[in-house]
Amino acid sequence: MGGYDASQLFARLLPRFIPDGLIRMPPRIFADRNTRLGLRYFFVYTAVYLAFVLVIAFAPQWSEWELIEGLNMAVAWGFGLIVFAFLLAMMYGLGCQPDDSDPGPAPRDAEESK
Amino acid sequence: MTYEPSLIAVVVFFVFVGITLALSFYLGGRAKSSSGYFAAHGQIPWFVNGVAFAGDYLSAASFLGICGMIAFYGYDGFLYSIGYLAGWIVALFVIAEPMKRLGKFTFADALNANYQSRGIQLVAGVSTLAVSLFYLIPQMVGAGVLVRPLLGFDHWVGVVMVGAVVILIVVTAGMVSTTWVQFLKGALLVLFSAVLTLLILQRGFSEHVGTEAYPFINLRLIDPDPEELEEELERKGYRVVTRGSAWAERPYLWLATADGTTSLVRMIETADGLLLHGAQWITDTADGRQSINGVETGQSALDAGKVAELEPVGHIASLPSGEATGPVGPLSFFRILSRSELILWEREFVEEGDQAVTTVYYPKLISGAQALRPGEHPKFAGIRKEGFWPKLNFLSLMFALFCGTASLPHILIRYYTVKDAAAARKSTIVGIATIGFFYVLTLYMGLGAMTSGALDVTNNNMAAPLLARSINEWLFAAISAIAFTTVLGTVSGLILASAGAISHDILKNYARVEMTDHQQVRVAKLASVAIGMIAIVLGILFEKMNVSYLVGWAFSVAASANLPALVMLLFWKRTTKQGIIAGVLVGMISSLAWILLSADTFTEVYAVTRPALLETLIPFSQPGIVTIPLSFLTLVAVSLATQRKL
Repeated sequence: MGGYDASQLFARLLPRFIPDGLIRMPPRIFADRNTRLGLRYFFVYTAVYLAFVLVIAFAPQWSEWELIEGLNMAVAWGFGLIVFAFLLAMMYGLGCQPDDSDPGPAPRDAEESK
Repeated sequence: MTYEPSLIAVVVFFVFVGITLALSFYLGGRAKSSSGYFAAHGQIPWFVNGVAFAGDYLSAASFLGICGMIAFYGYDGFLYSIGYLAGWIVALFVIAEPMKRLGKFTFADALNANYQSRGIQLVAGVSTLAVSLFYLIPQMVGAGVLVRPLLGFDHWVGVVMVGAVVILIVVTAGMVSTTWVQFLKGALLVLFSAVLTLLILQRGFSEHVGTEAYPFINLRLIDPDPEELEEELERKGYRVVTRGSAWAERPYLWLATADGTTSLVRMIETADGLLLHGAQWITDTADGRQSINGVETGQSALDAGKVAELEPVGHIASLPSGEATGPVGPLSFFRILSRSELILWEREFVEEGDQAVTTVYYPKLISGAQALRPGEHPKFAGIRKEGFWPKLNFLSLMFALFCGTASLPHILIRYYTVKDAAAARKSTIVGIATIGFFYVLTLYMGLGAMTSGALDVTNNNMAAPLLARSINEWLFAAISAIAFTTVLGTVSGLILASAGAISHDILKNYARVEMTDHQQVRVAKLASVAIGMIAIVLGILFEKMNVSYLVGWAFSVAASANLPALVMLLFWKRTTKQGIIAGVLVGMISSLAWILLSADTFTEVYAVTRPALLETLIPFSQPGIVTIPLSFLTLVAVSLATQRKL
């Protein structure tokens, strides 16, 4: 997964009339791979959540459509959001690299490494 | 319905509380320094902290409020589950990592890490206090609601009990014991909820369930001739009586039977005719007397051997197969429910002559499929209306729930109890798994309660414990005690966050009061007692308010005040301290003002007519969709205006 420049991300998201000078170099925080990964997952989840909310608000009849017998979209999507949150969290946990600020493993005693 | 205290419930309850206190005292010796008191030495194992997240987060609102809302209205309560859980995504993916790097003990420290500004300390401390207090109120109300039927005590007794126990726990041991209390509570809550769900599935559906199901009048008439209706009823043994003009235009009938009992039935139109189903009523006369379902309350009723009480409700009107289903699976649960017809209950008031007012609890027939779709609850009904504005309330709420979790001070403070960022991440993942699993169960429990025949028609907060009682008394005792410990755990966390705000943020950092570590701990304990007492008073005053509504309040304020400042601080280099102060202040004040001036507050709290001007200014009750962006914009604008010239 190639990293991307967060300032490009902002530039894509914000409307054009905000002058360039307003958002310059992103803070050092974006150099951190874990943070970038987290943000990526955040946007993915937000998109699915937003879709859910918008469907219920503006097309509630879709939420009544039965996926399989008895299980309608509202219930299925709701369960799905819950499960998806956990899956993303797991993927994030596995995908994160150890932090620089973590104390490294305790140095082995000289006698142990034979 | 009268709640008789169950001896088992009382014993189990006190055993639980006793163990909790014992744990607290045992661990109390360890937390003597302020770092120990506030952040449990940063040494709590991540798995424990993760389940403690769940224990902290799953408050009275989650367990009692959501299940109750689902039990009475169907799917809509589940929207809260989804929104609450989704907020954890914001917490984990946006906030968790950077936060751990920054702060020391409290949310204000995190905000202030780069700026060393006393203004920030003050404003963040005040915001923490405000949110914690608003979140405390529903918990205390929940405690009173729980204890009254369980132990037979009045509402205020439950509130005082919770307040006293929590103050004791917090003062003796600080974060360590609250973390273990919450770990215990979280694990037990999820475990017993899972057991309850399994038993619900095991019991299956039938038209006559539960040990307490009351046999309401339930007559189905196919294509009845209105002229012949009275004769038809006579044939079945019911004589139609009249009772005043107030009832003339309403879809009710008063029926008398040969033994002298009077019943009220509601006329419900069905696809092929008419359903006459029993309703319940409470009449209050001008001279202060009250009768329930025709029986006058007080000594005369007891003398006559009758009981004046409302009957438990909640059942299936008809099943697809017409007969009891036996055990069902988690998917066929929904299939059978969606093909059934259910009886849900609503309330209306009828003013009769002589200034008597009758409160009627009447049944309505609803298809299972309808109960399983969003939009049945009055506060969400806007989504089924035309136009954009009615939907704003719903959108605003879902937005506030999404943003609110990451902004809650008593959740944030828990990030500091693990030793590093990796552990913070892992504990959040465990938290999400536990909480998510629980929320899946809430849908089953709520729907199970809806069809259990044991609901209290006046109080939906009791739905989950009453469901348990209808299945098994031991389970009821356990779940009630756990629900109570639920409140204990959440209240401890909130009081701790508030005490931290007062002693650490406001007194030490802002007011620069000189204190040794030891003194700071003592001040925090005093603050805990003070806040605990305020919480007790508020919990008694707000007895009548809906628990979920109050929690939504706290979420909106938290999301408006705290989240914009946190996010911009972490991700925008140009944030200045003035920007943060302005953002937090504007967010907090605007959301508070919006709520205090909203239509819902006028109806439920002030009980006076709302000025028309407010209707134009504040057309919907949930502030999130306005105040959260407002706070962001304020922060950006003020930051840009106060950029330091390099």
